[in-house]
Amino acid sequence: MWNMNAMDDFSKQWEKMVKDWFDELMNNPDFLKNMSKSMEGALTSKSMLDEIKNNIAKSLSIPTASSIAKISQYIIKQEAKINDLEDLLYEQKNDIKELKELFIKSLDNKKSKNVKKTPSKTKKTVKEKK
Amino acid sequence: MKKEFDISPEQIEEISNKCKNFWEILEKTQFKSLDEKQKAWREIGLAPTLYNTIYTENTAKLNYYIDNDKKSNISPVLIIPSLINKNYTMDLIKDHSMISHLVKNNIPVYIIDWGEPGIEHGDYTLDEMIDGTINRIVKRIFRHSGKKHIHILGQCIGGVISTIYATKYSSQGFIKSMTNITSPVDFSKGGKLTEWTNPKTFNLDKIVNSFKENGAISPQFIHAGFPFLDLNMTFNKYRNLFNLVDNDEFVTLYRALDFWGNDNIPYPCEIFRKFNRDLYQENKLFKGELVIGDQKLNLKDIKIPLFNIMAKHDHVFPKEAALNIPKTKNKADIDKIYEGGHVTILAGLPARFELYKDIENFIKNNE
Repeated sequence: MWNMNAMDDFSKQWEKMVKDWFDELMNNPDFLKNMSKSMEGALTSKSMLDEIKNNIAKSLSIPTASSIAKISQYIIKQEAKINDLEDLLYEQKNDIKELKELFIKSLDNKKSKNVKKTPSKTKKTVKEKK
Repeated sequence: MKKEFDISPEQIEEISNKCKNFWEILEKTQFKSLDEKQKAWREIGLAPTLYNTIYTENTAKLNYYIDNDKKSNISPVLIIPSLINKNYTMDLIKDHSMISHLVKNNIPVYIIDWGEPGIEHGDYTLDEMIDGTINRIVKRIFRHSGKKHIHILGQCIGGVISTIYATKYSSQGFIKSMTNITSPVDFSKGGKLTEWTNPKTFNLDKIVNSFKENGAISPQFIHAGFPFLDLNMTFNKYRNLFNLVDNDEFVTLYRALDFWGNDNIPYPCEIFRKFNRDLYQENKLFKGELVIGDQKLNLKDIKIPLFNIMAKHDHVFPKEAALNIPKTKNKADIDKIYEGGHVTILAGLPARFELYKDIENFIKNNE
């Protein structure tokens, strides 16, 4: 009969073999150097292609990706500044609110002190009159 | 002699059905159009928790999760996700959502969505992200929540960013605690990724300069090597799908994780450069030599409680890279290793329930 365990063992062994082979490859400095070289080659081609695209855009008098990027970056920086200013404004608004509350409190305190003091004054004036 | 490969017709039918279902699921994970992708998103039920976007800055958004407008006395949590994947791994699907758990337990949650960085991000630096974007986001949280303190939680690269942020700003007193999920700090123990970014074979400047035109490194480039970080894990992914292809719950989770795993975002060029040079190649954060803004950062300046979450089978950042953070020790510090992988501890295996509860308790205990 069909033995699933045998299939499972076989696949596990195959996986282990592939993994070991790959790990060995990944620890091989020569392989890594060659991989790095081929990646660099691909990246050089990409840069060249980008340059060609830019030249075509320039010759057609249409904005290049880098000029759009510069404009977008400028917009981002301005947006960040506006957000910072908005935060500052909010903080100052809160500070003013707090100061206003403090001021009203201190005014109320003064008023209540004056109210307490006034009866004694009237008493004095009454005595003086007498 | 035992005939090992004699198969009964029923078994042939069973195996052929399994194969058919297996290929069907694999086909379902390939999208030919945006419509198909959106249909799959709805079918799987990804990112189920409701949220409002309360602040946007360029491509980044700050989302606030809602639970029937319950009022909470707990300081909000700011989640800083990874820079190379979308943030819904924190809110993957029903019953696999850390955010949903926190919200249900009365913890206000805010999360950053980095969006899809593009050509405008060519000169966007890590310093600007920490001192600018994240600072502004924190201020917006204070405004929106009316609170004066936050807890921060970072996952993967997001955890590195939250560590840097806490190192620089925790002395100001507004951060109550920090939770790192599978985040490295000692990059000399970063495993295969540290080996692959070795300056001898990894020409960082060449890579970054080649992508400068695009503003960000393409996700295809970054993720090309990930399946090879642990080949066993890659094989197991498909083996498990084949074995459990009749289990609807497993298939939904598989599709959700696969969708998320392939839904990657570009990595801003200058952040990629600084991250790889200063952290992977020179390990400056761990050594206390990383400069953000004009300030040299020392991990000992982190005096707030830290919940350091590690995965036993993390193939991206080995747990050794997250252990022994040289911060100032706090009584409430916790280091805990969970059974699972880099993402499965968060969204997959049963360990997630323990993890969600532990995070909830840590935040509440350090309120």
